[in-house]
Amino acid sequence: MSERNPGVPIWSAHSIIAIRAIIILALLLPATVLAGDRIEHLVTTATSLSRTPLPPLNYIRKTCADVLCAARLIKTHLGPKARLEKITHPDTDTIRRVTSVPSLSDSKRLPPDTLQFSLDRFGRKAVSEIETVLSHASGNNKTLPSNITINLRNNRGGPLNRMLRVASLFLGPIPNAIKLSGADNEKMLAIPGNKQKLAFKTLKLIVGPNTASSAEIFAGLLRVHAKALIVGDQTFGKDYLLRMVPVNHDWRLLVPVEKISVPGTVIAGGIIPDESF
Amino acid sequence: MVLRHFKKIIAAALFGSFLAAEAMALDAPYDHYVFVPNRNSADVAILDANTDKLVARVKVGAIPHQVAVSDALGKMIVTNTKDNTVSIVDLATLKTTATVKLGHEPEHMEIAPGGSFAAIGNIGEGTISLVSLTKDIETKRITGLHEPHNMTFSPDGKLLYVGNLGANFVSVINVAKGKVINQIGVGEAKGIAALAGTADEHQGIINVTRTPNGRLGFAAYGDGDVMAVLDLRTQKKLATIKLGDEPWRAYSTADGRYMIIPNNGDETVSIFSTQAPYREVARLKGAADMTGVNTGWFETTAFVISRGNNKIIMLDLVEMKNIGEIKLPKGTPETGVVTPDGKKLYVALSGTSEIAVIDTRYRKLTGRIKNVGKEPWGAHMVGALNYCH
Repeated sequence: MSERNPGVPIWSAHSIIAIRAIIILALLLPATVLAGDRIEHLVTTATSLSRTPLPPLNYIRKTCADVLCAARLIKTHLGPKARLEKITHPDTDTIRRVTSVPSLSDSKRLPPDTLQFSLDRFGRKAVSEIETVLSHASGNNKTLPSNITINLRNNRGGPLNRMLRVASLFLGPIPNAIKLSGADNEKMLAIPGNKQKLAFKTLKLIVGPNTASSAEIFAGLLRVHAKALIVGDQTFGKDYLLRMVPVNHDWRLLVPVEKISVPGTVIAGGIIPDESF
Repeated sequence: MVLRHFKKIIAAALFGSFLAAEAMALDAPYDHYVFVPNRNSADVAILDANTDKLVARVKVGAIPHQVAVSDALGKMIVTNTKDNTVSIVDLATLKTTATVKLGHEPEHMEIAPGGSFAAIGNIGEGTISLVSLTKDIETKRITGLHEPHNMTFSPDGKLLYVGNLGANFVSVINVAKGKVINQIGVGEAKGIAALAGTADEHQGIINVTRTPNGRLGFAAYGDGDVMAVLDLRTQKKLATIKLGDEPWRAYSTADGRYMIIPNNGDETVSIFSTQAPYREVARLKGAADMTGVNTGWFETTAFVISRGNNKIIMLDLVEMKNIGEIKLPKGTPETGVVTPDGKKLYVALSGTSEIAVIDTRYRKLTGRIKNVGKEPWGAHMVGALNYCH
């Protein structure tokens, strides 16, 4: 039998232990990593991406009852470049039928030897759309037009990796083509080389104030590596990359993470064209 | 003229007799039937794989998407995406025993090990419904998903792994608690450089494909060009491996040796060993818009369905090389199923009312089953590796 202090009833000793345990648990709980806590997942992801000091998790948990509130609070701390966007859910038939909203429009053959088209977005099928247009333009003798003109005036940007795949069609693989500068790190991105590079003599890009983000980077890459002539008006001048963090089924947080630059040209403040349109 | 009317009457009578399926019954076990949801005629065609004949058409709700069969309970479950319901049909009588109201746009589902309940993803509202197949009721609706697509149970049925089409992570659900308990990241957060309000197409995670022994799960992330290898017992991520451009999802061979992943961005097919270190053993030529992969004839051949090119690409899984293609009849191939013995492949052709039948040994089209219903969307069999897109 175990001995006990006759002055302290056994139920009292157990109660003290239990109360102490509850107090310790209560102190630890807010800092405990609770699997499945969506607010914690959001805070952890946003913090790891942005390197911007965010309020402590405990504070966010106390302030917000749901994850959307937490996202609003985080957005405020991330500054004006951060965005909280309502998600436009895709028609799921579009996904399973592997289709896409067209990225190209207004393709036409201009005499004597030019193909012109508008590249309005970097959609899922942008590369194959360009290949199809070029194939049609080649005609029966399979000769590509010597000159290509791409209208980017309505291209407001899009996913960076899809833009790089489109750039690859015109440039082939290029190491260290883009610099991403984060708060405490820098990295270089390459243009992939999965597709055969197109053969052309001259490349002209038409730009304007609505040409933005990925479209500006695209124009910068083609200017540096393919000596593309840029005509039109000064571009929008958005030179940073946002990383997507899903908040809930209907909302996403876009966290500004890295400044994008193209070695050899200037994107910040907008691209100054070589010629006005 | 009279003859034409007579033909119409006969055709109508035959069609009516198929739809009046209540009078018919299927023979258990049900592993020799092929179940085909027809989106446009709102029914499920049942084919006999022994004869390749249409046996019955069972009326269900609007836009049926996927069929699953609980062999243990003798029930067929059909998600009706437009009606926001699931139809539960008794296979012995082909009578609908219940139509259960679910969340917005139920599409994909998985029957739990043991067959007593199903998990059904309501992709339009970001929830999962747990449906008891013994009581024919929804027992729980789980929130916190992001466009839940396909899902996979752990071997013991205690955990449910959900592929989020709208995110770069897999959600893990504790089935008993009915709650999301973990989110396993796959690849880095998608990088977007665009002005506010620019429309963006996303393709997160279509599925977590398990090995036949249930131990490993493979989750391809379309926007990130990578795939995570998960231990389905411990929720641990064992590896992250690089794929081609815009991978669709992984498909397992029946022997569990390989995972086959169509990369729709660069029209290639990656083949990965399921043994650590999960090496890519081959990257072969694919085709446009690949929506399914089936394997057959002692797992020597993979049949890759190309929706965009209306054909099947064949891959030799011994030599790891392309070995030809099968042109399909006019129509749009969707998904398919190989019989449990690995000898025949059935492919739904949504542009017609037909199912194409492929001999996996001789690698050729051997038949077309006509008039199965409008817009056949997939094919499913008990005991086979079923999938849906």
